[in-house]
Amino acid sequence: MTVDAKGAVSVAATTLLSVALALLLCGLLFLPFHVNPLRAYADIARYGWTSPHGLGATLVKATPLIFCALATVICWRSGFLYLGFDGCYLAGATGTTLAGLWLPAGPPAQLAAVAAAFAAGAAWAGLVGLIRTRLGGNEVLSSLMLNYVAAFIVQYLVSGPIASGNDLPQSDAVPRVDWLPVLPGTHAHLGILVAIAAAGLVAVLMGRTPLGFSWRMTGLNDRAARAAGTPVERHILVAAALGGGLAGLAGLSDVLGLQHRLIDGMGSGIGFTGMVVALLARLSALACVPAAILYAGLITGAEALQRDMQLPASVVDILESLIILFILAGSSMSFLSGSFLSRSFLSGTRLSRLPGLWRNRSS
Amino acid sequence: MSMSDAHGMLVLAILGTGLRLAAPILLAALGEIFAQRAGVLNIGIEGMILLGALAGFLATERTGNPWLGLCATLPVGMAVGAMLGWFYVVARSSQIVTGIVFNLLAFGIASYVYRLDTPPGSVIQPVAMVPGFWLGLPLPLFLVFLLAGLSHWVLFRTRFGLDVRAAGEHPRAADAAGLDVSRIRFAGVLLSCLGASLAGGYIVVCQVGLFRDNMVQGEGFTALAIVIFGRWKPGWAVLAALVFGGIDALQFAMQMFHSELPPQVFLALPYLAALVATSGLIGRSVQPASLGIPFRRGTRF
Repeated sequence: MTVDAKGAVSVAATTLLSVALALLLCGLLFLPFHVNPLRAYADIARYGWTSPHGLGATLVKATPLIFCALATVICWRSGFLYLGFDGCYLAGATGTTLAGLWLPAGPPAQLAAVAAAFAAGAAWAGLVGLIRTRLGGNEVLSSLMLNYVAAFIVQYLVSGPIASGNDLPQSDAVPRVDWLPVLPGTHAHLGILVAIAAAGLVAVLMGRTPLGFSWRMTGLNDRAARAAGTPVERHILVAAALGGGLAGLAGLSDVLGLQHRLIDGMGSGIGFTGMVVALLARLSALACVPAAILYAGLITGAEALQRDMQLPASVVDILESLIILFILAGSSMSFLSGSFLSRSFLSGTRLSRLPGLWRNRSS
Repeated sequence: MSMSDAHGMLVLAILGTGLRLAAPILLAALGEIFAQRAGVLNIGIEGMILLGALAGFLATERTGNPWLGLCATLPVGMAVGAMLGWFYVVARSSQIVTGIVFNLLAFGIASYVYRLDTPPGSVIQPVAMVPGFWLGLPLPLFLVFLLAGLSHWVLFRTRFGLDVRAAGEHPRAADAAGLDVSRIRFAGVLLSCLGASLAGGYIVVCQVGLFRDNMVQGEGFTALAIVIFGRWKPGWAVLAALVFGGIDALQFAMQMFHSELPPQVFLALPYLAALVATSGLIGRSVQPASLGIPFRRGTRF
């Protein structure tokens, strides 16, 4: 067996073991509610993926997750440890709503909405990119703080300037013609196809272009990249803008595909969920699509279970986080990890050694 | 009552509220200072505060004694600290990834246990709270500020503090000098989890008297900002926490008197202040040199 094949096998083994262990442990959580874990899991799968209505809801939920996960892939693999995709999502949602409310309905508003969502998200993340590259500040903490600022800006907008008349903290709905069209025969909207296409584009960009190569090099070792003549600062800025723009599109897909308006508190924590999806996908762009659909299906199924049987939907959060923690733990155990663990797998990256983490930026 | 008396009362009220708001985030920040000084960025304190609040609530609910509630947060903090310490120090996992995923786990566990304890539709009873000790402020509040002094003394005047700083500044040199870097970092993580867990218990038994699975909204991240704003020094962290608490308190007062300004401006102020503190605008951060970098014996990197 080649080293690559060995690595792929060991990754598959670690992942499968982690999933099995997490499913087993979370199964115990159903017992106090007097529900057979196997039946609970079967119900989650049925609601989440196989019933037509559930699948539609799953795909609608998966769309912004894919965008946020792709944004995570671009930023983190470039060594830009941005945690502010919640803010980008809200910036994109705000841009979309303003375009939809202010411009004449139809193609002009739709095009402007896409441009505004992308630009707003890109600018929001680009700000932190500038803080890191120009001021030498810390992107991890800056981006966390800006998440709160974005949430307060949205709260201000929907309770003041663009508040709807009905006392709820939300804006008016954007005109129906601007909404994303529903795919025939499903409840999902066009956004899911765009998200899948975006995943393909990001995969090509990361794996097959000079820009992607420079990004990965910057992420793995920025000092070596700089020594090799790579304009590290510029690459980080571009990665921040592109990632932020994609997260902005996540906001667009929720405004034009789900809520149809800007709402106070919408999408709270979606950026972090996107990061978790990206981690499940081992920071590989293509794997983000199945990972997001899996995660969204689990949430949809668990919410149905909560409705019908009073089972807490938070079991899904426990399940997902346990899977990743087990993968992290497994990567550190030598008998499970080949020396090239996961580096070759779907061109993903090692979770346990995320590149670019607070390296000294002396140069 | 004269006008100046009224103003004096208002200032006192703002100061009091500021102190109240500052205490729990300062407590979490003090622990985090030890973790970061030892070289570990523990983002998981957000989830730890939530689990501490849950433990404090459940224990107080069962025993009726808020002091026992506070004590119950300690074993929970130890257990979680040991788990996180294993990931950060032994497995050498990416600290950001571990922290973020742990926060999700903590939220899942908190809302699961809360639902198990308080089924939907049941009446929510507030638990017993710690009574006022002096000027209506609870005794733990004063202990938190005493603890800040103690932290300063431990960090800068004891052997253990020196070891912690060495492990975070230059772990290879510390290792060569015969220190057990892993053990020191593990201790730092334990301290940060104990602080955050106590902070969660503090919020329940000294401030709210209730538990909600969404009650922790960024207190852990604010504590991280305080650590940086306070330049990794307990004394400055006290000042930073008071600034944060003061702005928070001021915003309540401002909302009452200046309704023409949107309240969101004041709500966002502490976060903008933290942003400025972390942005490198006012002097470069003097973070521990090896913060966030896992240490492996016998390697050059």
